[in-house]
Amino acid sequence: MNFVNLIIFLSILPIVSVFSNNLLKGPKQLNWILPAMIYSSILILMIPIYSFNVLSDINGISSFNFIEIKNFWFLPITFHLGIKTYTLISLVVLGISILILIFSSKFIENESYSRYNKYFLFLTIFITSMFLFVISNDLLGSFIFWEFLGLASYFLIGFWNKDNEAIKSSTIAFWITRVGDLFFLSGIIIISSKFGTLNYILFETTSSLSNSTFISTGIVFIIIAVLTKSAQFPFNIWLPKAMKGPTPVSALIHSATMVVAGVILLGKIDSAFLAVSPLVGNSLEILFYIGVISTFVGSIMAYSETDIKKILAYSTISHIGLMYVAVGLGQGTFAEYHLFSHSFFKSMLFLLAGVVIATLGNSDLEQLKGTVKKTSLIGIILLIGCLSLSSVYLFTGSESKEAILSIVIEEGRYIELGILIISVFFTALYSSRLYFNLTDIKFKNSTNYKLQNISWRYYIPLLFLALFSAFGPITKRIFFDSTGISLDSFNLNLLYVIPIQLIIITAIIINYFYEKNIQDMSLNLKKFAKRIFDSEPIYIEIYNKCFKELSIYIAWFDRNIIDGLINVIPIKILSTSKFLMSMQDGIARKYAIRVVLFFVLLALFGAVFVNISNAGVLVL
Amino acid sequence: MTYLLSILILPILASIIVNIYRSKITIVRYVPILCSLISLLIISLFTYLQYFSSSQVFNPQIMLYQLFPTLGISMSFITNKISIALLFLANITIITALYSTLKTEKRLNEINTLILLISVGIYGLILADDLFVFFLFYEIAVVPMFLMIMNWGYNLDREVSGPFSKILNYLSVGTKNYGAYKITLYLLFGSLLIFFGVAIIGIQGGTFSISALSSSNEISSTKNILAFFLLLVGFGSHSALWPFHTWVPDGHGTAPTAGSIIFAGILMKIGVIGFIKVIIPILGLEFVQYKTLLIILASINIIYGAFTAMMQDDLKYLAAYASLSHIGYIFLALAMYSHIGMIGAITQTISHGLIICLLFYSVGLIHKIKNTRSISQLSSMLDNSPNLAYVFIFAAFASIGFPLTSGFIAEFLIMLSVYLSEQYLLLFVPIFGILITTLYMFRTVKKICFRFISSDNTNKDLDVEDKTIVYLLIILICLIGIFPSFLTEFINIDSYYILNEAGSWKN
Repeated sequence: MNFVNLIIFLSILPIVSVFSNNLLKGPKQLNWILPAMIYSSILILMIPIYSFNVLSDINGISSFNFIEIKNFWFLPITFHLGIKTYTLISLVVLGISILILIFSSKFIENESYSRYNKYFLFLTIFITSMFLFVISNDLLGSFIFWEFLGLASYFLIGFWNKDNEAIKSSTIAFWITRVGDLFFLSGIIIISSKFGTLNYILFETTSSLSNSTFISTGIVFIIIAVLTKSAQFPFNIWLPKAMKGPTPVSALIHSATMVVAGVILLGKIDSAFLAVSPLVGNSLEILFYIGVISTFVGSIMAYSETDIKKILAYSTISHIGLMYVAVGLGQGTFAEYHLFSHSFFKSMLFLLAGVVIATLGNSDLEQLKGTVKKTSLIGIILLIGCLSLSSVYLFTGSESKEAILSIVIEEGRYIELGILIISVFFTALYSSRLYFNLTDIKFKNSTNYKLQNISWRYYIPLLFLALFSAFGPITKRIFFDSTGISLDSFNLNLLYVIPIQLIIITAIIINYFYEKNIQDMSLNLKKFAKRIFDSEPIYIEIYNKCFKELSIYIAWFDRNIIDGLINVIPIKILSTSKFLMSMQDGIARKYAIRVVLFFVLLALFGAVFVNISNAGVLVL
Repeated sequence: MTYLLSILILPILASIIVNIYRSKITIVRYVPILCSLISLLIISLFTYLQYFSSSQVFNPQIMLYQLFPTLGISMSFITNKISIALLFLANITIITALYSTLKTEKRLNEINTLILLISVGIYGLILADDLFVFFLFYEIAVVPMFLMIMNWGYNLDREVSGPFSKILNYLSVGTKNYGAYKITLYLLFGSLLIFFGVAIIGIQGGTFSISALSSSNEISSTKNILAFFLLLVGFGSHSALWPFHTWVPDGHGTAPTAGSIIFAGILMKIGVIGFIKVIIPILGLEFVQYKTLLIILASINIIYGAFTAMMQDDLKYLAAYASLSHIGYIFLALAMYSHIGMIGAITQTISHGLIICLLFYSVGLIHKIKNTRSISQLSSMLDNSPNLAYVFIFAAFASIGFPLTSGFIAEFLIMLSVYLSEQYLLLFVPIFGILITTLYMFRTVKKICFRFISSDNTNKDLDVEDKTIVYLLIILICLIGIFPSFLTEFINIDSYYILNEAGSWKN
């Protein structure tokens, strides 16, 4: 058996195990233990193979024909374990997923048996499809698992369906991502009908063909799809709403994996291929600006929120925007680097928010003041998370962000750079605000250290993620090992790094001493950000005007006009028959007149007919 | 292939048994299902022997006896791989319908008899090789519906307004009488047109044999154009081609669950079968000439049906308009007149048949459990009857063409055929159709499944019999979705021949 097939088979097993556990009414705990064990075994199997580079290009591929019409046309689905960057990302996905499974088992402990099972069923569906998405090597496979990401997200956001807001959010999220999915589908259809293949490797080898309008249109459609899934600027409304779901879900789906799937997808569609056609070039330019807007506005929105989860959601939009800045400049590797480092600290912070919500039942920053002891373990974890989030030097979040900023500098886009620097400033502001408000660093006499006696199932994931978030150089080495770029050739210019670090540190210091002042000063900026990001009324307007009202009108038209018209026919027949019935009135004189009339008409008709037929004969 | 024809006799035998032992409830319930299962077995056996164990290239053909020798009408039958696929679909639809009547208490033997009669009509229609025989079986399939709606249907209140409100009120729209009369008159009117069309073709060609007609070279003539339009309207009104679709919502709304399942699952596909079997092979020239018209009508079907479905409050009306929209995809694919389009159309026929069976079955169960079909009144399904809710959600996902369900394969092939036909902007139509489908399906799912209202606590769920048939359908939909090559390969060559070589029914 091919090794890749084995991995694919193993990755589907967790879903089967949870499903059959559900059918057989097995013990509740098996729902997370079994998947966690299977995913760990995949991880353990893959790590040596990954690090010793055993799988070359050829034997790392598994492919089978999905739709096939013999002698005419076929579309395969391919999985590729030979590309080290994506294998690394798939390992990260698995690792975080295992931690989330452990965390979730405690987090939703109090749910009923069937809901507990359901939660893990959809979580495993999500994890498996994300894993397969990362290792899939053609657009069709990517699309299929991309859709499944949306499905799992839909069910998990709406998990607490007793909350009316949650189901509304899940439906909106599904609708918006579905619009993108349809763009993706159109893109696939355009590319496959013109290109004959959807395989990423074949794109690279035949990229000379790509200079056609059709392929470019396809790629543009895929870029739109990517923006919806990543909740970037015009489609941003669903991600903050999605925070209604359980927090571990937010940590996994809405920060580390699904929302960054687009970066992976665009990374796979080779960047050389992307830049060939002018249409694609222009759309990459637009992608760049959307990235800038999302980074900037997202960071300000995060600063203006007081709900921890919403802060993190907007922060996610902002960080993904930064990834698209890199993609838009044709530097997919840096986007993936930021994706890699972002997934650790962001999912960690989300899990921390989950701990807060689970133990205190509240996620409002104002009411949580001083609840964490700064010298306790959780306080240190929070410190690491916030420093990493604000990208202080040597923490994981720092170098990837600076790398992207340095590309922007080297491209000479100084206005955009300025905007990005402001967003870096705001990122430092909101992350430090998170720390200052939650811990007792400013509230010295706080006595309500409610975050105590936390379960080990909460601690283990947090510790693991904190470990990865704390040591920037190590994660950097891990990532650059996978890309094949030597570390020496990637050296950040200190001239770029030092000013950025200074800005970050200034922001933190300002926030410590003059929190109130800076809040007041940024009031206008916040209003501006809100206006840009608040596109929900527009969506509602579109839905109401273009769909709801039109459909009411068309339905009325259908029922009353078309159906009414059709119903005229039987009515006419009925009235004719009534008219004819009224002739049978039993008055002999009328009958006699009718008989005479009939014969006269018959004679006339006969005469005319004979004439016509004679004429016809003559003509012939 | 003589033994395959026993599927035409078996249902009649079963219906006799059912009516003789009408007081024995087990016999009345399970003999029809058993009979359908035997039919399924016979069809499978035939498929295996004919297409998988031997490498016979000829499509089996049989002539039983002459009906009207002077006109060249004979009782003859033919099979090819497409008709086998359709037979399977018909059989599964019939089984689903029979399962849905299991809980009926009122005159179960009679409704089962009607379903069995319809099944005879459909099987015969699919197998027929003679236009006259085709028409004969067509009538057998249509007429029992009238009795079904009259006796087991539902009355609805339908509010009317607009310029024709007087007429509509006069006809008391929404009652089952109205539904039954409308559906029957509508379809009989359609069949009248089909009859004329078929007669023109047959008399002009000197024979009524479909295989003979399609292998002879066609000469374009005005009579053929007339026949084409007669058949277009006739088959179109049967398959709910816009604007001949208004019987669909009323018919489905007033019909019992079994009636809706049969209608949406297979009877509405008769028009499609007519296109595949009669119009395209015999009147290919006219079809190519006027395919733009069909493209326009199909596009209207897709968009209009989806929009109309969006604001419906009755679940059955929603499903009816949804199937209107989905049948538009079939016609769109047929109108592309290409190999992939043909395969896409057949795949969509089968896929839609299965999905709509599931949808109507679950709607029927919802109606039975909650006593209402109104979307605004239904709620809390996910908490009170989770299995049923998941079945409904599955049907919703399948109908929006979610990957790994059969809907995705069909829609993918159809869109591909649209794009390959180089009418690039036309791709917008199916995409937009799916978008609206997503909107209305998930609006419904949100309201009836996810929305939680604590006062709503009827917690009945699927029982064993429901589970059997529902899971069977789900498995079939997923199987086509995961291993589509099996189906597309099976119908590949025959769909190629339909288009490229008239008379290839005989290969």
